[in-house]
Amino acid sequence: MPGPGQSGKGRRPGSGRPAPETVVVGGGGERAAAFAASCAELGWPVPTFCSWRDAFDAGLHARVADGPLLRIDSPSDDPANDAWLVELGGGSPPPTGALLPFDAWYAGLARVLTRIDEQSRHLRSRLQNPSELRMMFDKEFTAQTLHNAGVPVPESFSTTDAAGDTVDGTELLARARAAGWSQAIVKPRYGSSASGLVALRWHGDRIIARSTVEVTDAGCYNSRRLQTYRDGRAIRLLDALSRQPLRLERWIPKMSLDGATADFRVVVIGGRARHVLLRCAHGPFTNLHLGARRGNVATARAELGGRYVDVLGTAEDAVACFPDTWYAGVDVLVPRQGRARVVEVNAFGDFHTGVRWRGLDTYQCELRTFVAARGNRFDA
Amino acid sequence: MTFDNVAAIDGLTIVNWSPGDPLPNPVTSIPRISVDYDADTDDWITEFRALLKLPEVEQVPGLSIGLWGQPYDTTSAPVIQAVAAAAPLLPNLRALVLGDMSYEDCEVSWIHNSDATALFRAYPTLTHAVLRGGNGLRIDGLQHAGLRSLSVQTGGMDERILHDVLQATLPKLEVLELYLGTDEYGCNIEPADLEPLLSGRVLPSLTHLGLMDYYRADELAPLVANAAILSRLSVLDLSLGTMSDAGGQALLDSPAIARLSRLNLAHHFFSDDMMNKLRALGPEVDVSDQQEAEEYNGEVIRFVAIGE
Repeated sequence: MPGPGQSGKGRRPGSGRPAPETVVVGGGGERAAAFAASCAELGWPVPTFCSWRDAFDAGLHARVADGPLLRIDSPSDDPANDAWLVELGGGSPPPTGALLPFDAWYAGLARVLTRIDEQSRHLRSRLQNPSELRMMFDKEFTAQTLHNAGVPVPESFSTTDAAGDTVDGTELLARARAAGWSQAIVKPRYGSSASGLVALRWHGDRIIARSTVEVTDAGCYNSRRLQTYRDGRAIRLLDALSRQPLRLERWIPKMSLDGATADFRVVVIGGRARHVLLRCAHGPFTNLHLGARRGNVATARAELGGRYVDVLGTAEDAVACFPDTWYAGVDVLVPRQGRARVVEVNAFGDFHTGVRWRGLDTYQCELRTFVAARGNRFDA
Repeated sequence: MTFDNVAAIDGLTIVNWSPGDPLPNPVTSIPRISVDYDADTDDWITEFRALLKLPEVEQVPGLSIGLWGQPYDTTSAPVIQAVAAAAPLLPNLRALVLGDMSYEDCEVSWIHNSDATALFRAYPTLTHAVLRGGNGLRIDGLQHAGLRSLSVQTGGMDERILHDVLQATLPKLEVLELYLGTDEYGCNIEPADLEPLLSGRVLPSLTHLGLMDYYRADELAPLVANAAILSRLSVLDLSLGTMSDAGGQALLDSPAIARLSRLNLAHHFFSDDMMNKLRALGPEVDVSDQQEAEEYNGEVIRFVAIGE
């Protein structure tokens, strides 16, 4: 009998039936390696990777002919894909380190997801609906959908008017003041929250903006460090960013958990919250790549008491708005008082090492629960 | 550059508390009361009164006054008054934090604070206090027989606060931390203004002195290095400021600095070489969080950790 990690159909102990083959749209980076390792640990067959480019070029047809599990992973696992998606979306790839034109990236992503959908629509064994993944990358659409479904989200508005024109920095701030807010997070409408965020607050004449975006004569660049912009320079930062459609979300102060500003990343799989992470930051952004650390979930859970259940339930309700997609990583913030709120639904928010739920990592949990839910049968 | 909620004071962890929650374990923890971002000081006082109604509230060893409404619009005065008036109900209170806000809640220099002296007068059992938010803060006529630790945290300290500290009668004070900040946010304190403190003429029980987050740390360093007070200090904290090799050298040259138990220089602009020399000095030296100066329009800029 083949042991774990050996190629060929693996056998799950006791079942007598081979574990299914898995095809992943993705590859080229850490995520692919991690997913393959997870399959090996389960004793499942080595997954087949179909690159995003191949998938766009109709390369998925042949690979899904036998009805494998189909999972779509992040195009950004291969760093060359971002520029390609921008081009596909009708934009010009920016110089290294510059902010991506997110609307073009999104348009490119949408094109590829459509092709993936066409090639896989017939499968009962695909873990995600490509159209729903596309929606998750449109924060406006996501916020509206969640709000309509009664899932608590921060108050927000978008900077594009009905004609699709964007407003400048001064107008942006005026709208936020008019809404009675005193601080806001500015985000690009499209794309993930990896870059382009601004933590903005104002009082009277004073404005202070903090962002990893660096404004230069050559345009907007990503910096590893949080930059501070005051008054006029803050407005100019907003002007530079507002060439893209932007969203303004009310910046709700997060409860301090495990001794720091923190929010939760909840990985919802098969309708239930499974893996939970606490992201602690010393600053307005809790994205882990910006220097945040992982906090202690057990400590936070104790501090929240009954409110912890609300965190999990809210995340589940958010993913339930995408009923044809098996999993997503949900960012949930806990204000000092009141309901937890969903800040973002991440299509590829399942890449988290070292976190287990009943002994399973995120990938293993996705695969096992998906297969179990279908009675272990797949008719292509 | 950012600050979190105060995590602990006098060994007691600070735990968020709202009406409906049980009292935190008085042996290990103290409650922090912060209202919602939409609320005001009346709401804070309402929550505080709810705390006071809990059975066994008299066991509470401390209190943290967090967000009291819109702190850049409303001062702490009504909240200070309410807490001072509650003293008969809190006979065991020894630890107090005023302005326990994180960066999420408010810029430290935008906090509208007020005179906090009433808190010290009301609680003779107080031993540890943290005051955060220098805008409007005073501790005029401060006298306290039992206070052992005082930390005043601002993004730019006005000289009147320093004056209040220098004039205070605090015979038992062992630990003093002053976050001096930067002139951009109201620091008008010259290094020479700290002379009465550095001479050792005030605060007879002091063993731990922090002159932190200072935008003129290099100028201060030689004054501190030769200060008479060093002979009675075991801990010196000059962290969070703009100190660079010039200040570091002054510290290296001082035999009195070398005799300290602990020297905190975290968040600094030292070269690697200076860091190594300081580490070898003798005391336990913290030179973590090395910073890089920025250049802007040909000028080299070093920045304090907590300013705005």
